Amino acid sequence: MTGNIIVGAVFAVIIIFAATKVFKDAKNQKCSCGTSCSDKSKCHK
Amino acid sequence: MKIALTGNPNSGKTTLFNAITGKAENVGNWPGVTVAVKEADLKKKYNQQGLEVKIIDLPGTYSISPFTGEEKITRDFILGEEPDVIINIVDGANVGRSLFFTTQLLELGIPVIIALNKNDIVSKRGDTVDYTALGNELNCVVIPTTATSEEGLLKLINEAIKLGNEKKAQIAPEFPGKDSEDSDLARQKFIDSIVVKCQVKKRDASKVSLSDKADRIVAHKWLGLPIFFVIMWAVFSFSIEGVGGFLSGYFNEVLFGEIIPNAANALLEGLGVNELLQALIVDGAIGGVGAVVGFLPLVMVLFFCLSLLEDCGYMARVAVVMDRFFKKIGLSGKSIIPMIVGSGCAIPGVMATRTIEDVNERRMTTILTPFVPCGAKLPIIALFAAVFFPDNAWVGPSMYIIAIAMIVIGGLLLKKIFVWENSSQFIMELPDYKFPSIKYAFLQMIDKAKAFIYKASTIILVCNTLVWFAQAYSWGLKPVEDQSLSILASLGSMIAPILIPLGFVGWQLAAAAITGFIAKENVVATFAVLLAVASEEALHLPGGALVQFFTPVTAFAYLAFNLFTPPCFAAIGAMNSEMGSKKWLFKALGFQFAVGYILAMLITQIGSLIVYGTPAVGFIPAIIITALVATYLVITIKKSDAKRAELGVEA
Repeated sequence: MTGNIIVGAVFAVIIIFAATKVFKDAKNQKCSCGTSCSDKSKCHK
Repeated sequence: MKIALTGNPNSGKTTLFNAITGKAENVGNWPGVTVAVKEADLKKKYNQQGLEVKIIDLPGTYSISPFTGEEKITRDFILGEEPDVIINIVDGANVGRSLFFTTQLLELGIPVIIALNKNDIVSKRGDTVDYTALGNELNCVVIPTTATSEEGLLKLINEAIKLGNEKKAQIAPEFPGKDSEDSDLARQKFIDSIVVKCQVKKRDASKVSLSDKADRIVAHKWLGLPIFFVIMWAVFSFSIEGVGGFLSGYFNEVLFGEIIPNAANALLEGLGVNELLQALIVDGAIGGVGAVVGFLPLVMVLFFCLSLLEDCGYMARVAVVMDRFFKKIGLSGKSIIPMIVGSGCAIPGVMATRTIEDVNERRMTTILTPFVPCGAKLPIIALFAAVFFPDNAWVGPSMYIIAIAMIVIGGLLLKKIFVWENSSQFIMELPDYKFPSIKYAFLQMIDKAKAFIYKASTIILVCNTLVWFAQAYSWGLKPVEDQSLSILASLGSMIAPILIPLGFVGWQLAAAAITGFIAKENVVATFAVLLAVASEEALHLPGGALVQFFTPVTAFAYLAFNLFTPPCFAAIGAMNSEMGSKKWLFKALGFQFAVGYILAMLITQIGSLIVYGTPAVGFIPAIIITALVATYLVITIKKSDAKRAELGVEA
């Protein structure tokens, strides 16, 4: 049970963090922060 | 202190910007690579006094009077933001052409310093420029620089900071006819006189150089395209068969196939984690992300090779080769630049359409650019090529050739469907051939790899966690043993009938295609998640789990469907920004979907008839759809022809 809670919580934090990034990137029209996605003015801020 | 970098396109502004700020912005040896303002702090190496200095890289422009969208950005920045100093980067190899903009800048009152760049090329040619005389003629300091080797940059920055601190207004040079109606002509005459005084050219332009001889073959009107295909075939073969393919095989089969899942399973079992949570983490998150990251070595090698091709000057020749085809369909050769940029990622490709002045050409290019296979589509190509065509190295390059064909056919159709008149011409200065920089190619490769991993650890991770959940649970949020009872199956089943005329049977194929619209890599990751649960066979191996859904012909068609239907959401967002109209965006998406759909349908049905002697599933609906599309096209083109006749516009 404790294992489930710890692993579940860690995984949930990772997914929430990734989802927040995805949401923010989409909202700010930010790409994956490589120069392959050129408008880097929106990256690294 | 704000220091702005300005100059003609392809004068080396971004290379200089990267050198003095330590950034890794995209550079290229063709005009129009920078289409937006970029800002960064001056690197410590060049900022010995520790001042607060911001460097601003502006899109290239030939004149202070803007002609294209990105030139307007530069004009507006210089006039609106008033930087403390302007560093005008002048292409030392083309002084005469560059000084037109320089003389206009000098009239703004903002202190200007000239970086006479590409000094290495000037020296190599044996030409000489009298910097002091040039500076005296223009009333400003001229510093010779070579941005690629950072030669002269410290002196340039020190002079710029000194000028910024002095805060003296720039004094513009005077020349006869400056305020006359023919001021542009007078300005050019003044520039010509300066060039005569300050520059000695050793190179005889009428002599045929080795570079000219190479261009006669590489950019030949008939040989150019086959040479391009052979080069792309070689690049793909090297990437797939060489170290990239070997490492990708290891990543897919061993690292993400055994080592990481086994270790994760052992750890989670040891912690006594519930089976469903374990499956979510191992099959969903690790399996989905691993399936995409497994192709990372292959993608890195491919981009390394493409960067070498670009840096040695070959890609600029490809633009010239394509120009003659593009002109025939109403596109200018300028359209090839967004398309080459789009081979890395469709987003900057679409953004690069800003360099096209004509609104119709710009719209056409925005619609057609996403047809070029971008980095995100490479894992799909690699997966299908490995499973269905393991001994055929032509599959990867064939996607580029089909992309060119789709651009040409798509362009012709767009020109016929819409009443458009195109006028612009394409003039491009070909860079000299040079030995490509390994450092540049390496940095580009690392940059692409970073972007690839970022995507895999954000959008791909989130999507595949959701995909795993949707394939493991029913609408009542109860775990299901049979995938066909899951949420994903019911969603996929709603879309699946649309794909039957294409010979694609199964909700799994529809589900993978839908997730592909979020990010193209998701197609591979979704199959990895779905088949990890449903099949014991490896996904990436020849004759693997995918063969239950496809024949080689339908697999090729599915590949084409995913590559030539609308791009990912992020690229659609960029299309929306560039088109500036929802109406045009939806027209563009409708057109792209129709092209991808019809192409996949034709590959499946005609291919099955030729290869297997029988049509594929959905033959009758395919005929009906073909007839309906043909009728629609005939009616629309007739209507457009009538409108064109009315307006006196040629198709």
